[in-house]
Amino acid sequence: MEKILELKHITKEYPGVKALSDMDVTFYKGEVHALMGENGAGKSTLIKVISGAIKPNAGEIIYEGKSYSEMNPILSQKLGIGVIYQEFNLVPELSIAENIFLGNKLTKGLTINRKLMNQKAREIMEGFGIKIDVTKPVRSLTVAYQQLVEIAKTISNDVKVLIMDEPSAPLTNREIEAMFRIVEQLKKKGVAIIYISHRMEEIFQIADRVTIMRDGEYVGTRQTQETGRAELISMMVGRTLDDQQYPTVDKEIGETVLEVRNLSTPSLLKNVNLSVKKGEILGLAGLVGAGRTETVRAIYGADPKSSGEVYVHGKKVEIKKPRDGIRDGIALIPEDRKKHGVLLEMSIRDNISFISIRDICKAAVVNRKADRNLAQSYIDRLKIKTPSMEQLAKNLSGGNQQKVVLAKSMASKSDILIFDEPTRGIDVGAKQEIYMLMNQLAKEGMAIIMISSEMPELLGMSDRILVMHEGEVTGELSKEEATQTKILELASGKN
Amino acid sequence: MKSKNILKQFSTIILLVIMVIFFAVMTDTFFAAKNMINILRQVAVLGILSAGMTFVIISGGMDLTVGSLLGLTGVVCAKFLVEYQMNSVVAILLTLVILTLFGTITGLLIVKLHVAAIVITLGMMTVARGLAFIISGGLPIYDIPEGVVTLGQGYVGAIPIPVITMLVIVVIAAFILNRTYYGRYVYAIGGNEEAARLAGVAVDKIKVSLYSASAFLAGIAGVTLMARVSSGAPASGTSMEMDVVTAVVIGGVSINGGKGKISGAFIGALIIGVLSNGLTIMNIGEYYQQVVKGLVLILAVAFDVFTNTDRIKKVKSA
Repeated sequence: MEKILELKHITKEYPGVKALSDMDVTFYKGEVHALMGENGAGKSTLIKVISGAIKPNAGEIIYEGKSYSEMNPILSQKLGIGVIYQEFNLVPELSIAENIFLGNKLTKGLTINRKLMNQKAREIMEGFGIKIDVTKPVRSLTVAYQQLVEIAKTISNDVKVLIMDEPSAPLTNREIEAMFRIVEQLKKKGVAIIYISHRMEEIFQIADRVTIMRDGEYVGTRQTQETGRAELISMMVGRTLDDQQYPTVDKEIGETVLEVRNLSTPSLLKNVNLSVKKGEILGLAGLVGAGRTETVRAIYGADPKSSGEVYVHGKKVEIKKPRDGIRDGIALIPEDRKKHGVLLEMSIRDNISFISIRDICKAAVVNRKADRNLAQSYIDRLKIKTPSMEQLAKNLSGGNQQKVVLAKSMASKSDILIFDEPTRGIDVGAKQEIYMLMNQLAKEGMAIIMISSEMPELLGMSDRILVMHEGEVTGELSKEEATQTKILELASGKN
Repeated sequence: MKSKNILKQFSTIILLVIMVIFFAVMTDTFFAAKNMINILRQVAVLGILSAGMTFVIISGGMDLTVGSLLGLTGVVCAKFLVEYQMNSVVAILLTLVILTLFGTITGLLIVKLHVAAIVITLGMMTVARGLAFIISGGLPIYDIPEGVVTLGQGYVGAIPIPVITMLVIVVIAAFILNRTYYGRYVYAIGGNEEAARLAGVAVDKIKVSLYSASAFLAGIAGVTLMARVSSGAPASGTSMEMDVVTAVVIGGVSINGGKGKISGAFIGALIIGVLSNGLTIMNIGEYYQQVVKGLVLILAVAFDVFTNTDRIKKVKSA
């Protein structure tokens, strides 16, 4: 195989932190090369060095035989390096075709040649096996299609190296399959693909080689056919990890704590019934758009209900706003951590005590000692990795941010915890910790609802699984009877 | 990045010190105790208003009404005192109640109509100014009673009363912002309103309270101003809101919300005070002063952008 891109001794230092240290890695044409590592391992920094978003302090970038000491975004684009970031860079109001050719408009004199543009866009999308009206605005598309537009946009400039940062995170299984087909096509054309993902199954399915990074350092590169899950995990965490991914705990399941009857919302939900018991983990399964997040948000008071009753410990409660939910002992750990969960610009201490702040106030004045003690107790208990509780939350890794959000909810003395995708975008080691915490909390008598799109997680963690489809509950499965097939059937509306 | 943080933290103080040294060297009279106290008295109204504006801007909002409210306060209070011959304490308290209600209405309009604060307060600013002219018939109201005038012109020892008023308010405001749960809610609303709401913060109520408080402080500043000039003039405080925003932004309060300190805004107010005073002593005309003030603001905002760009990069690489 032919080399296209080689990084030699790349080092990137920030004051006090080595984000990348003496990194060596080579990428070949027509190869899918996965990058793995826990959050904070330096994957994002590495791709930014390649795309020119940041400049390394030392090292060499060799691209098609030419040596560069650093890239810049315009140069890298010219050379044929394309990046698809986790956050899309699409203009929602513009059409699919306009987005694809954003920045390299096909012009006819001074005006845009719309006909040619639409035709070319259609060709690209059809190349992906997708027939779609390319004049539709991007905002009307689902996340999966938006991502396809993002890919189309990137490859419309004849890329030779395509970097994909967690491309599967927002996609459903079927959509991932479609994306993989496109990746295969590109690979056949000789494009080198750098694929970042936390999902082990994907790596083995799509990647030819995988490079593991840890704490900004190169750990090793393996042929995916010659390695296994256990080896990769131990390389990532730097220790051997039990292959037992879902910890279990001896616990007692008690009386019903939360019961929801005939919950409907104006837009989606129709007569949703659910209940969860003390010490139980109830899994909520379903495809994207099934109404799982809408259900828990309505229960918590984040969104209005059109009808339905909520009972907590057998007593009917009125929940109209989040404060009501908190009052009744419900905590929501939201799906979108950065948007809804963590207060990025505030310190870890401020975050942890945020919901329960009034409990440590005397006449509205915060008791600073109690505040610090509270924060410290959760930093210790949840093993939040930080040099100081005064550190701003934005400086933490995803896993640690999630722990801060959890601490914030736990400190509010809730006994009903709702986790919406608790491990999304979190690395393997931190996932384990979150699972163990959830089990521990269940053991201590919390009632837990967990929304998850990861099948093994649902099957491994839940005591009972409720499956939803288009705003309705389509079935309930006990831990014993639940299988991936049964869940998928119920989730697609077949029963 | 660390050196940048330090620079950001102390930049306003450094700027203030540089300016003081500059004027002290350039003129004979600037660096006299008497002039220092004079500067403090001149910034009293600005300082009081900056405290309220800091809360509002940290919450992600904007309050353009405060300048007009100075005029409204002056004529309302003067009318109570002079025409209705009310007891001074009653007249002032009643004025403050009216001002607070005005702020409450502003706040309610913002949260109920879901219109940007800058637009609503722009409207209410015009309304307030119009009311001030209607109530006063367009002319200043004179003959403010002696006792009230003391609030603007009196001294305790060597310290003018307006300076004391300002310092008390700045200290209380800083305490509320730093040490109470209310302060933390204000930061959270400005930083991430939806996350704050999901954490049980009654976002709308807090926002309404902020505009009420800002108007209340404009009331206190307005009474102080009225007392200092011994009359309630409908045009007083014209475009003062811009000076207040300038002071707060120079003081490092992020115009995007979520970040900033009362102490910074206070230093920002002092910078504006020192600038006007020093330039006046140097015999530089009003028009040139405006140019300098504007440039200092842009400098401060540019600095804010400069440090924030860095922040965005850092979040992405996390």
